[in-house]
Amino acid sequence: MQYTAEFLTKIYRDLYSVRVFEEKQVELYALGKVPGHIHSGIGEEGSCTGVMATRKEGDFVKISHRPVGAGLLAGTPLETMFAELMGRVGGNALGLGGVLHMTSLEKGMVGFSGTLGCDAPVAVGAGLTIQMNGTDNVSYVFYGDGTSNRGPVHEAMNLAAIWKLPVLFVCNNNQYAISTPTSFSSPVPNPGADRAAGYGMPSRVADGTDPLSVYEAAQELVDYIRAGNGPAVLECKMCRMRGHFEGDQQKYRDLSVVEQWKDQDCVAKMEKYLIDNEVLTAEEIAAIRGEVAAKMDAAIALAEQSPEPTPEDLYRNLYAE
Amino acid sequence: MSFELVMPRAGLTMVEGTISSWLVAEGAAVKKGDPIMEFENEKNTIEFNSTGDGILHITAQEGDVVAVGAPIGLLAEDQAEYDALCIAPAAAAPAPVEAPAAVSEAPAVAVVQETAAADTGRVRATGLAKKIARQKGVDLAKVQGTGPNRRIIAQDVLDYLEAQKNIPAAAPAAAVADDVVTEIQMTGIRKAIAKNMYASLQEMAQCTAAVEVDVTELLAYRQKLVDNQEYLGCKVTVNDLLAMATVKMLQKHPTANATFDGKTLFVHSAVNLSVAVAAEVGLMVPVVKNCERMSLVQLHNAMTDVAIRARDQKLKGGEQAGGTFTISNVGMFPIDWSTPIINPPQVAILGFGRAVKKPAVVGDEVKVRSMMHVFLTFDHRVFDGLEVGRILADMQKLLENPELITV
Amino acid sequence: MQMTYLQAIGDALKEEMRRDDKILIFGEDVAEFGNIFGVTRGMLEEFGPQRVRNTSISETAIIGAALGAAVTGLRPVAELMYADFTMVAFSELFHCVPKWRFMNGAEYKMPLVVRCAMGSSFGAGSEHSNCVESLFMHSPGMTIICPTTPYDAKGLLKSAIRSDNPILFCEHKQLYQTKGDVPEGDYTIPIGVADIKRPGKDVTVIAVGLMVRRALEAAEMLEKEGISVEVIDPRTLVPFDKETVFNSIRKTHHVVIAEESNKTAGIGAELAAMIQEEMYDELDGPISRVAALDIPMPYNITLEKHVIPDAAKIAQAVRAQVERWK
Repeated sequence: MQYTAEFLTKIYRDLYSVRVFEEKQVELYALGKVPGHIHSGIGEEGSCTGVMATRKEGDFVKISHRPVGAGLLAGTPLETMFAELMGRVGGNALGLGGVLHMTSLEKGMVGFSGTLGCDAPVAVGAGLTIQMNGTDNVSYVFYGDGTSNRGPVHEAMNLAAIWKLPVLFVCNNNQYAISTPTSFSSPVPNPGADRAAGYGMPSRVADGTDPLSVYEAAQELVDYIRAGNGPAVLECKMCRMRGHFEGDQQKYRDLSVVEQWKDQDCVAKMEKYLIDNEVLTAEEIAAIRGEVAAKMDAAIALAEQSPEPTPEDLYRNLYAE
Repeated sequence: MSFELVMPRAGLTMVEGTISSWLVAEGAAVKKGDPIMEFENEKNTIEFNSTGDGILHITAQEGDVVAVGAPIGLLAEDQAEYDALCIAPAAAAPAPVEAPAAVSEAPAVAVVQETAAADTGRVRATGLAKKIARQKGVDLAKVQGTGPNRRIIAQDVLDYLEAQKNIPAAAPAAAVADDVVTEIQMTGIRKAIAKNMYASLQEMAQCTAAVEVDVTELLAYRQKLVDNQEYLGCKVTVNDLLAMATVKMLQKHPTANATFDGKTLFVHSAVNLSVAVAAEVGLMVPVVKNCERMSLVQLHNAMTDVAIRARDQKLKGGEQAGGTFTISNVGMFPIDWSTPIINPPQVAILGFGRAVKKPAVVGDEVKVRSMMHVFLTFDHRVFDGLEVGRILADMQKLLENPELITV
Repeated sequence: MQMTYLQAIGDALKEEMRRDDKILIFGEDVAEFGNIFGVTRGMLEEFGPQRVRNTSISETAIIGAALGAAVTGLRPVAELMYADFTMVAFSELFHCVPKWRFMNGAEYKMPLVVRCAMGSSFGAGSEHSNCVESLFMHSPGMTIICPTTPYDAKGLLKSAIRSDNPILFCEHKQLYQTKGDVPEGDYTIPIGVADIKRPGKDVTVIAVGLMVRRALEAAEMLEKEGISVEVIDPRTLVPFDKETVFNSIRKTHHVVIAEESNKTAGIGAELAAMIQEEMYDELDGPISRVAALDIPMPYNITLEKHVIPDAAKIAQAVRAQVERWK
């Protein structure tokens, strides 16, 4: 496929932004500035970057818990995300929702359930709204290989299929659900794509370390969905580079396999592609990197100025007026 | 609609008040703000100003103990309403009445047959029954429970009150009543004293030590000051000198000029002396603040002022609070020594007995000297004997060398 | 005019759907069949297949999709058939629906009503007879409504549909065919306001769902014995109308709580704890609970009746409140 330099630059900027967000998340966590636990998505940015490049105004998206930085691709303000991440009142949920709930309904982000899989039907509901409104929008829902075995995902696929709803199920197959390898938890090699047939949906498998490969597969399915044909499944293959959570010693897996995947790092590969094809020079890439890092730091500084929520804030959002 | 007058809360710890006197008569027209009643709380007599306009119908009588917030009277809007209030059955008028009454122990009045406390010694009563008992001043141990498990229910308390009302004031069956018991309710100040004194002994490890001091010189010194009273402008008392000596001592022993909450000892730089005053109504302990800044004359004037007002029950709110140490002089009575009770949260109290001439050994000779006991009750949680010994030694030194007191 | 509880609910749905085309209903067998109890009969014909949708047997997806539709602009009324099936979508109903606004922020509005049929119905057995309200009282953010008359059902369902907060609307199966007066035209009943179904002065009976009728029967019996019973129907369990209940207790000083679900950790457990905390000084005796035995619902109808409180059991509890020691 032929791409404009502008498009490729945007892809790179998006990809690198999610990467930096994930790195900053790890950094802030290590400094003790993030409550609870985080799930680093470093190495898995290719999938969301490629898929989100097919998005248009009015689409809905439900990201997954890895990488949470994908929220920025939907346009969630960075300082809001960081404030929510750090449990500050400037977050979208006043710092009461947390790392898994850095959302923005205004930007079409449909929220997230901490219980994995509960939100697949929610994306179906967003698809229902699109259908009722009669637009050609899409509801994107990201989930993992582990979550692919949960009932709600299957119920959601079935309901979306019988109602022909515009939903793209994106399975980020990073090969591990905490310690459980996909080869153990799924009886089929492609826990996302192979299940589509059961619900009469088309599917594609893409290289999750290559945002362009993801983009191409996603675009094909999204065109199909926008045409009113109903839901589809995209599976992106990659590897979880870090532990399930920060501090996970990963005794359960052979880390030499992870080492091999380091050659497949989506950011490094994309940079090589851009230089090889003379889209960007090394200096231009360095400039983009500097720019992204500066933006991220500025957002963190702003978020850190946001105060802690008070006991009064607890009751502010429980009920709508 | 009639307007209800209730016992006001006048002070942090006030839970009930005793009606001392109604200043206006039953049926009088009163205006909001008019002084209409006086009541006593723990240690003060306070004027009650009407909280509304109308014709007064009194429901709580002089001597009644009334809980804060409980009704004491009603204000009728007009004469018709007033008349209606007066003929209303007593039960409808919320009058918490438990006036002192002579009660005979004849079986006819013994409501106490089988009470809720009978089996276990613990009174079983419902929340509502307890509330009514609290408001009306009923001792639940005397009430018979008729609820499930013989629990005292609200109706039992009301029945008890009704029965009490029907008891004739004079004992009807003198033949069987050879012992007449007069019940005197602990009210206002007396009740507060009872509570405080009991609490003091419950909560502290109190211990008393005494020393006999030769006050011959002190009395002579005081006589000299009396002889020169025109120059001083007042007649200095022995008590003034004892107080002044105490202030001097406390400046040397600051841990005695302190308050204690069970965990932390709060040592005060100001000497705020609580002065025990025996008033007819009960023990009053007004506080003379910042004694450490006073001359003997100033101290005399300040102590005289509070003592007079204490006896006349004219102390203002707060004048009995904030003391850091108490002195109690019982020298006007034929008392040599006593074991005074500490005024919490203070940590010690110093008492002075009467001065008596008696043979004393001076050098190696027996001489007639004026002797007085000085006794210190201290909280053993705070002090040990060492400090107490030093305190009494210093008191002895000061009293036997009176010129030290005033320099 | 007189109508059944079932008709009143159907009318509320239809009138609201005519008023606002963002409202749609979906669930198992709600379209052609008109729901297994007949509540949605005729609605497919009037509103078409876009707004009256059958689903697969997928309770989890029904609730999840209703949530997703609600936050993105529709006003779904989802149906779960039997209240027992809330358990199939428990995570969604316990975690997501009530808490998402709190977790995701003030942008999120959830105009979502989940309808379900609760309670015993003559031998439905232990998986089709449950009363589940107390489980959801434990999830802050969920509004729980249990109407007991046609009038209340219609007015409260309309308020529920117009609310921007998620609502669990519990209809009682045994009440569907009961009749009552319902005024002509549009009206709503505010959420969170209890109704004194019968005034009295000696004992307050707080009754929920079917137990309201049973408590009224008991009150009738007790009146002949000279005991005056005040029957309060909270109508909304969350938010709970404390004031109406407290005012009643200030008058009667005695409380009996009657519910159809199991006694342990039930509605009565919560209400009794709350009342004794806040109203201890007004109580002239312990609060009593009349509830189902702590046993799964038996299939045998005689035993079903034995397990669930009837008017006689409620009356007995009331008598015990005012009994005196002899």
